[in-house]
Amino acid sequence: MRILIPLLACAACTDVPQPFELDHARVMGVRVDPPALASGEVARIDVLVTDAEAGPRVADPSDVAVAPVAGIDIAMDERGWYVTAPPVVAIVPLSITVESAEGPLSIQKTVAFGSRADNPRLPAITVDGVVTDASSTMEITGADDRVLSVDVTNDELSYRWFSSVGELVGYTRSTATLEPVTGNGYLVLVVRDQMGGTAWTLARATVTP
Amino acid sequence: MLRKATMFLILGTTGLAVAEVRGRVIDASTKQPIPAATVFGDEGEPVVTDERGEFVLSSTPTSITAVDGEHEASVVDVLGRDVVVIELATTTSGEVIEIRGEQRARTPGGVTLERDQLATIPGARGDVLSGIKNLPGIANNGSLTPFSSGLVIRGSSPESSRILVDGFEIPILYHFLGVQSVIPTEMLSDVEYMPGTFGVAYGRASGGIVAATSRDTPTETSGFAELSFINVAGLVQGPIGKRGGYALAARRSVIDAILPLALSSDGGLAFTAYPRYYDYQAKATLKPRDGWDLQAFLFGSDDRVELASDRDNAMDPVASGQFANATSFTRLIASLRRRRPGLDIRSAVSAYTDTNHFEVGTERYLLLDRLGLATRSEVVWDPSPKLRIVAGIETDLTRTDYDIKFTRPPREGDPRGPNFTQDALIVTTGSNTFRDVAAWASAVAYPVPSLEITGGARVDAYLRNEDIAVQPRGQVVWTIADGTALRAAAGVYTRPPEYLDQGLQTDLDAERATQLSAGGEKRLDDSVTVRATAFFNRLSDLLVLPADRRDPASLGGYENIKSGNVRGIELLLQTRTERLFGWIAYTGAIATRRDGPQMPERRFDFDQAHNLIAVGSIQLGQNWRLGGRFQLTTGKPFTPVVGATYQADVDGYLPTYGAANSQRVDLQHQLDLRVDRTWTFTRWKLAAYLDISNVYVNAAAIEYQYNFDYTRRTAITTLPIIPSFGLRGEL
Repeated sequence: MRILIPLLACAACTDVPQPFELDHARVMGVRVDPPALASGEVARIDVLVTDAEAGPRVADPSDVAVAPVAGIDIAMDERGWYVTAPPVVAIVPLSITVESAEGPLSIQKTVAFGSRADNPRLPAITVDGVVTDASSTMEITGADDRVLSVDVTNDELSYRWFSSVGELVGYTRSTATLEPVTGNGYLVLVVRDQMGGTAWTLARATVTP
Repeated sequence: MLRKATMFLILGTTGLAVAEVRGRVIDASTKQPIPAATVFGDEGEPVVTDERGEFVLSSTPTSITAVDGEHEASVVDVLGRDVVVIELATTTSGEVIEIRGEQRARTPGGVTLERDQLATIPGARGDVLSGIKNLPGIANNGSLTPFSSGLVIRGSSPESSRILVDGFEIPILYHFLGVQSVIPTEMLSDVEYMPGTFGVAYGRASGGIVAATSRDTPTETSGFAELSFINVAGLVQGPIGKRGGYALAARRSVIDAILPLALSSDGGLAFTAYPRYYDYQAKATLKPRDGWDLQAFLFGSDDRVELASDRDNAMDPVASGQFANATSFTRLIASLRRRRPGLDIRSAVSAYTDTNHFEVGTERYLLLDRLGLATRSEVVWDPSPKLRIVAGIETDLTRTDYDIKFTRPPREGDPRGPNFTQDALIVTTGSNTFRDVAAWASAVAYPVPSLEITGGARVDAYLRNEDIAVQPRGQVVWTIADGTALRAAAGVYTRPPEYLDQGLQTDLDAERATQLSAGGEKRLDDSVTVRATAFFNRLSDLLVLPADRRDPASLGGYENIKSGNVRGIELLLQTRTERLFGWIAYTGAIATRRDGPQMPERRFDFDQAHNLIAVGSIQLGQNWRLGGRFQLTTGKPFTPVVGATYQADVDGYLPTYGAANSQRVDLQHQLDLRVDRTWTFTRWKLAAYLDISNVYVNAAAIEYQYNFDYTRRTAITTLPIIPSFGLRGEL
């Protein structure tokens, strides 16, 4: 019957931060581009973070630390952190730490060496079936539920939605429902493939009555 | 004058010498003593009660008979009891005997429960087997919680203790989350609770034993119908000819009718099949000749619940969507008992089925179906007044069919619950057959009237695992004075490695426990008894999964490398008068485990340092009874989360734990109240009760649940209040 505990607790977890919320310091995704490298190739490491003050963003490289791994060249410059593939075939876990307003956040992310693979295509967010422009602020009017989806569904990908402009139902599916709350904030979508590939779309949103 | 009697057993032990049986004959309605009544056993000379209605039989009969005037009461089994109270009631028809007996405890700390007391304990909702949680040695694991389905006896895991009905094991004691036991109070004559150091007649348990005995069938037709917030129930019983009887009973929960009214539908969590259970019992008895007793008892239980959720489950996506559980069992027990002076032979056979199905999400399932046949025979022989020989044999043949795509079940000491997305999966289909055989023998000697010495051994052969366990056990009881006795016992106990997925391996040995206990008891006056018991259990060869459940290495299975210690004391102060009963029970214990030879010692998951229970119930006039119960217990241990690492590839968090079970949830306390009212009419009775658990609405934490990234935690609590109201009409 201990199996029941998570299920019973589910009913009581509405007063704690929900996985779709952007209300405290946390990591939303880590992108190694490309996620799998041939020998000698170089990949950049980006960490998507959020906190209550600054909202979602790619962490400044100076706030990120990648622990050294023997035999692998890991370095940082002003644009970001980089890893260079050694002449071996291996899957190597990287230990990453990101400083946040609420303390350091610990991350594990694997990178594959041997042959190259690319990250998934950047998804476009649609609202009620209309593709939005992520470079401009999304305007949402009224409190009616809105259907969020992606322009192209891919069964090989997993989806993860985030919102600071209302509650989300179905935030682990390709299609989610937004219950809008008046204010300014963000909608974020992170997609992952099964090989460690990651991509995200981050959009500002404004909800008006 | 005709006098009517029914048999009850009272809570408590005397530990007195066994060379005599003491008792009292009283009027059932006035509770006044009946002097000059004749009482005799199936051996020895008859005696006459004194002016206080008291008698002493200077023998050890297996049954006694009370005679009041020209009317004779029926024969009643008193084997193993040395103090009895015979209530003879005036009636207009029929002739039955009513006896309460103080059964001599068979182990230090052991208790035999009185049905009518336990059924009126506040918070037990009229259920005898729920009432046993008020006894020393049993941890408070709440009611209607994820942990309340099992019994944690003297720091042992729930699966280490056995629950027996007429000598055969039943797989569960309680319906869904412990709401009610699987056998109604009315079908039981007594329940014996043995928290440890029990005799050789019981095996396959390294913790304690709860042994229930089904009720003998009556000699006159009666019945009842009952409706409460918990269930609807009915019973019919009566004679079959002059030497037989029957009893039929059934219950069905009504919670599935009440829950839809109480639950809102916007929580994202919905029942597709509301929790429901039913159970049934049918018993027939035949006594073809004096000293012969044939019985057949068919009973079973069925529990089902299905939950559906449209919520996302970011921590365990595979588990999202639905949860379903179906648990059922059936038992058919046929028994023969032959008694004559100095000899008692019992033989029984049980055919049984068990079903245990879990389904989580759409891709994880654990389907277990068992079919078995068990036998049990025992001989009790008294070759002389100073010696008793007990010998017996058991066999158990069980076939289990399994279809599994599931994670390893929760592990004692592991703070991680199952994660159906990330844990390594057992994927297998097949069947296995367990063949267990046991034999035992013991001798009970009474070298002097004040001394009882028992020694014997039990051998359990777990043939599928090729494990043979020899378990010597013994006990000494010294009656210092009338009402004062000392007792010490020791023994070795084993539990076969057959619980859930342990049965997938054949290379495991039985878990072992070496148990020691010692104590004393003193009767302070006619109504007050005090008892103290100290115990120590050394646990070894406990089964543990050495690898993390997420690691595929965990599929390699269990090893017998875990150990543990349990030590503690139990105190019981109890009183019973004609109108009042009650007790104060305290258990102080420390239970620890070590998950491997090089691992640090830690608290047991259900370690409970202090457990104080006060129970009282008083009869007010002829028709009212008022009771209260208060419990104060140390909080359950838990392992704190001290951090978490984001797993970027799977979008989940891996928690970092502090020392295992190094913290406790808050102290728990609870008050329960119960009121009973009876109306007596010419041909029937109507009874009503109101039973309120947790009167002052203290929702105590029993466990902590963390949010998705382990930055916040919330308490899973007991239900803030559980009212229960019932009505019963009785013929």
